[in-house]
Amino acid sequence: MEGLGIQLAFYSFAAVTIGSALLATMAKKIVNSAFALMATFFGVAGIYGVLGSDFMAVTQIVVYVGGILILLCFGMLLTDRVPDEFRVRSPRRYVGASIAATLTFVGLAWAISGTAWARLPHITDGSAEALPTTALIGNALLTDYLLPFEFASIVLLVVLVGAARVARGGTR
Amino acid sequence: MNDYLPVLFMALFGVLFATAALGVSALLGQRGRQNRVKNTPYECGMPIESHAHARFSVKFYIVAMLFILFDVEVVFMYPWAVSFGNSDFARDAFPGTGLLLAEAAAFVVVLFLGWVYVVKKGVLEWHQEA
Amino acid sequence: MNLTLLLPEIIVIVGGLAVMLRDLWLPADRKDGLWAWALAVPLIALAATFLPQLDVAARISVDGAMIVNPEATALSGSFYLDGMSMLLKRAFCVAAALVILMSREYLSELNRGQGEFWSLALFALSGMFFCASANDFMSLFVALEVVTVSFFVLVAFKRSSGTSIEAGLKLLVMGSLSAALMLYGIAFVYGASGTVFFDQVVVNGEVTRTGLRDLLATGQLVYSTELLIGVMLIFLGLGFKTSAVPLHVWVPDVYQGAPTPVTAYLSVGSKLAGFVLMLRVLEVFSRSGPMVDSLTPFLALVAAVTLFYGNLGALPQSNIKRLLGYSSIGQCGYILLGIASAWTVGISGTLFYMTAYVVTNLAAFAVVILVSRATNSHEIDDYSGLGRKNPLLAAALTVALLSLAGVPPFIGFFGKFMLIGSTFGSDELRWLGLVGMVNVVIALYYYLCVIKRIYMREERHPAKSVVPLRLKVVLAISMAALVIGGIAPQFLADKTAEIAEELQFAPRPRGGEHR
Repeated sequence: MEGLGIQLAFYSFAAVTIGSALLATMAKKIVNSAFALMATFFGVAGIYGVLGSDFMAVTQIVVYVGGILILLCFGMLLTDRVPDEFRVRSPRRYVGASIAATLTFVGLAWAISGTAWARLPHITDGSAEALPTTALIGNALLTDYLLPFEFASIVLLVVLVGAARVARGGTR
Repeated sequence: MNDYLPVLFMALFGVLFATAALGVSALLGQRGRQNRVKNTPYECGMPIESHAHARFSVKFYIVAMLFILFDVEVVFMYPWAVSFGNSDFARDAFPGTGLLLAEAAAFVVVLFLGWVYVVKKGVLEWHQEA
Repeated sequence: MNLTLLLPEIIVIVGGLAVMLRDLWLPADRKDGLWAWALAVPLIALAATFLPQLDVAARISVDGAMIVNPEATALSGSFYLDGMSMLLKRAFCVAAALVILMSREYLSELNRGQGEFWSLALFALSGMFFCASANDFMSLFVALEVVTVSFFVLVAFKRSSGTSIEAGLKLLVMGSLSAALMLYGIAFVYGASGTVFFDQVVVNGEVTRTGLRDLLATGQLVYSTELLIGVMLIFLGLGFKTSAVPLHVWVPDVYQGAPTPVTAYLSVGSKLAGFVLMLRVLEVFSRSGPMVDSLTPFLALVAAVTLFYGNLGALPQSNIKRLLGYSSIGQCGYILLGIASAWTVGISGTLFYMTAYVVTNLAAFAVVILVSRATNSHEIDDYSGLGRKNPLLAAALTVALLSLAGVPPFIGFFGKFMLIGSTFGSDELRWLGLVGMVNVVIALYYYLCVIKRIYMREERHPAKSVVPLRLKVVLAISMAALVIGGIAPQFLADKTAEIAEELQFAPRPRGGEHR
């Protein structure tokens, strides 16, 4: 990735994502945690944008922020008595978790940086432009990825039936 | 990349505007006196009986959940619509317009049947017979 | 397009939709008719798998090399019908039919929700079908998710029971974690190779879309660390479905908390779906010698730990569903043992064992359902005196448990024999064979404890349980199958050997070369 602008954009979105993810895990009030999660979703959408994936960025905002986060907020509202604070009781948990996370990060970073990643030809010879991806995704969904596309409708249907069953259970 | 600059500016502007609105009103406005009694919820002037955090009905959650499901369906429809309207792709021997339509129809029909299920089961009924 | 290959899947999906819709228009007191519809669907699908149109050679020889036959694929190569997927689809049909048969009693208690139960079970079946035929990572993931999500709901189906909902929640948390792990692994593989497809597409002699099998075979995709990490993560994600060790923690609680027919379905259908995907992924990556060398110790270690965990964990159990849960972790260990030693014998042993496991486990769970209907309990203590009270149930459970343990006249013995024998084929995996044998002994103890209680102890509950005729027939047939399969396993063994040949796994190093 060249260009100072792109690098700047990437690092700032990455900082937003990681920072708000940390906030979301460590926040004391659940509401703060949920809004930090929203910031994380925005950050991820920004990273998709930086990668040139415009459709995914918009989808991320529409589905995640506009849907799942709302669901999360309703979930919080549904609980009877929200404890205003919940703390991690022992700081020892932070220590263990930090060690595990650092080891994972170091291992993955070493593996990722030491690899010859596959480069699609139009990127290596520099002829890539930031094209609108919606048409490309559409073409791919309807030819190469037809089976996942159609079967995804069954996934959605199963979730629909399941949600109706688990979340209500009326007399019918 | 330059196509995205307007988006970024718009987002920044939105954030700036909201912050400015709140910030200016906090700075320039009068600071209200806060004491414990004043901060309790209003119940016609009587001492409060119930906790402010009233419990929501699960119907809101179900509506939001169903919204997401159909939202995802719409998200799948966008790229299909762009491909379908793209004359080069649609007129090829494979897949061809009819097949494209059939593929989308299969997707939509399955979810339509899911919607029929939701309606018939009364999942979205707001008013429950007591 | 070649959609005729998808006939069983289409039947199951249409069947599931039909059951779901029919339920909407039936009055509340006449829902029992749905059961017959639901039972018919897997049986029709099973019949459809025997159609001649679906009998296509999975591999053909082109220029001296065996490649995937394009006639056996559909939907741009995302769907692959080979011997393994046919065998597993038939096994899934049998499993679904037996589960639906068994759950008839159970559902008359829940007079609402029948439609959802049957349709979700059928959608799970369709997901399992697509798992058996997945030919690229995207289809693999979507099919796996259909199975997983259906089970989230089925496990939590008994809304009045706290343990059922808790079990559903545990399954949900672990299922989401493992899906995330698997996707991360797929991302790594994609990053290393540039494709998620297993097969390439050649148009007019020119490769228009690359595929993993071909990239690995021609050496264009070089073995690297992150390819290994990707594959390991995918195996971990699939390990959740198959209850392999790092991700097995949900099994005892979910098996205990879920309604028993769902536990039976989970223990057979979901597990085998995970295994068939493992076999498929392993088959794709077995074309890379260094990958095979690196993966084998990893798989062997997982198999060994899973075996010990499952069998040792079952020893102190007093609840039969938990015991069967730990036992199924142990069974997963045996199957992983076969996968780790993926010689031809290892794979054919694995397939044999998986098929035999379907009938065995379902027979055991059928007895559990019937006994719990009579005694309202799942404690092993309440099985005392079953031998006197109801000899058919006692005999069926005994045969099933002995077959799971691997005792000689039953089919389980032959399966274990093939699996453990295959590990002795390679020097470095001999220790795994010993581990397997030690675990057979450990497992024998707890299976025999249950059998002893059935026959030796005095009965606690004087009430005699009524067994419906259809279940008597089913139990009798499954006992016969277990016995006949054990005495004359040749039919199934030959079939699985033929499938294993077709799958073309690279042979394990004994100093030898890789194909």
